[in-house]
Amino acid sequence: MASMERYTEVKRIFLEASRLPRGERTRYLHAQCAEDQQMAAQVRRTADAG
Amino acid sequence: MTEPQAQEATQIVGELVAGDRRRAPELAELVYDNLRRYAAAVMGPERGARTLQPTALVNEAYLRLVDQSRVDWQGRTHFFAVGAEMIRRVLVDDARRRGTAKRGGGWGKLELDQDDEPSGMTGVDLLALDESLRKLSEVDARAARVVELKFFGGLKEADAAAVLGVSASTVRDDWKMARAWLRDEMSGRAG
Repeated sequence: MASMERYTEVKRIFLEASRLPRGERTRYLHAQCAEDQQMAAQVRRTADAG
Repeated sequence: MTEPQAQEATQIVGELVAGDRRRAPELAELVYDNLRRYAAAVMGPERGARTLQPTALVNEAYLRLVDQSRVDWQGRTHFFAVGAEMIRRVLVDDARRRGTAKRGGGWGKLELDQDDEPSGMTGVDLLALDESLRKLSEVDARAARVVELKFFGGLKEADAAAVLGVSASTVRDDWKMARAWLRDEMSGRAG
């Protein structure tokens, strides 16, 4: 996936997750990134930094 | 700033409000020159030990350059949008010229006092921030501009939204993402 596409996807998942109650975020992340653990890690890192 | 230049700046701001951007580059140069001279005068040779507020410098330029009796809030917002870009240029140019790539870039700590300012970015490395913003603009130009408007220009969410032609919630999302992305990037972990 190109860099901009990847960024856009990380942004979408990060923002969606941030709107959810804390207890639901991990499940949402797993559902969104089930087949892309690198994506999951990027979203987690973004969330940690934010 | 001479009176004719102030009249010119006020005139161009009025044109921007009316949707005519043809002379926006002229305003940018006027603002840049004013900011550069004022920043140098304010901070002086001992500035390394002082705290710089970019938004205060932009505000000072506004007061010097624009006849407020002829400009409404929209004009003020347009001016601050230009000022945000120009103060970034002034500060980065200065840091590069001085070769001070370390924290603060020779301007001491950049004080970030907006309400929703990320607390972890106080005392930011100016050149690293500039470089990171360039990288961010490659993948999310609007979010990078949101940071510039809020961080360097001090624009509030609603004003940034008006400048960009998007909703306030879009600006809020861009800011949230950009803040996290920049922190990650500047910590050297971004992939």
